[in-house]
Amino acid sequence: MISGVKIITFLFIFFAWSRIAIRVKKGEARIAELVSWSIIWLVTGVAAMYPGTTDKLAKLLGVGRGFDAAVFFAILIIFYSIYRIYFKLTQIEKDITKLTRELALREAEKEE
Amino acid sequence: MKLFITLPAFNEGKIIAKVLKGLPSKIDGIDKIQVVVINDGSTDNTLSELKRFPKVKVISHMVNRGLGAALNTGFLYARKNGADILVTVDADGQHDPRDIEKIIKPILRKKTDVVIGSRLKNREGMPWYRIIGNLGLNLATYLFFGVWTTDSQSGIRAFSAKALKVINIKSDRMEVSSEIIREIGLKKLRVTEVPVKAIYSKYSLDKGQKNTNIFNIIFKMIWRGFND
Repeated sequence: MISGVKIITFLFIFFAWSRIAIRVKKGEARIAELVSWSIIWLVTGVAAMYPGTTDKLAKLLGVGRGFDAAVFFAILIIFYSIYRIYFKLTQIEKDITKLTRELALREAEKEE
Repeated sequence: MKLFITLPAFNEGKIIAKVLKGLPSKIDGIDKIQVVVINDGSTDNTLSELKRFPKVKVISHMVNRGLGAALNTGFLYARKNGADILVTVDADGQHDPRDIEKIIKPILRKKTDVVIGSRLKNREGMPWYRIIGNLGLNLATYLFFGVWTTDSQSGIRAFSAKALKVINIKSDRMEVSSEIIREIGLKKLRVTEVPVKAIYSKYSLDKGQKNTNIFNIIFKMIWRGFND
């Protein structure tokens, strides 16, 4: 039987997948992005439909239940994403400083 | 001998004129004194106040980029314009301008490359929480960069032409003070500490570094350690 949680998960997957599909159609995202996101959402869909499959993966990893394995990976991905975002942000900040300084020094030279 | 006195300023309109008036116009052994203010994207009347001082060179950042960014702009400008000595002074009026002469002396005598004006050799007037905050940052600076100073966060410093040439500032914000110490260690520069007086008014205390910022600075030091 399909439970409420499953329905919500599927609706969410469909919504998330359609967003990226629309962006690809508009030419704002590449096909490769659609493919990789499709794989991610397909795996999530299978895991939601057949929770047993994640248990096998969990055994392989040595963690108790399939859900724990999912949480484990989710946290790993989140940590990595935060690191990447912080790294990029630092780069952008550096670029803004460089621009600001260059403009300020040029202006100062002009006055001399 | 050409001396550049650089003041990074962000929203110091209330006090900047008083600070500039207090700066020395003549020092023994110095032929020319050039005062440079880096107006770091101030949104108050700092810029209009600065216009009253035609001899002061003003370099304006369009947007606020932080203490480190402003200091680095000052460094680049001084380097480009042939400074023999660069002195940095906070624009919030917490330093006694008479200390400038004191801190450049060891460089004039060619005894050192960098002079740090230490507010902690004479702690008079410094609030206890500031002393603790500074000690914490001195310790963190020592642990990460291996150079011990009694006041790693001091804003009043002097750099010789050699130091000015080799010190490479990358930090944009408050962590720049610790970074300068790191550069001193890395580039094997000679460093001297000279006791200076700190003037703690309500204004300078409000403007200065908060203890809560310490964790931020330490985090940035760790981040730099991994990503440089």
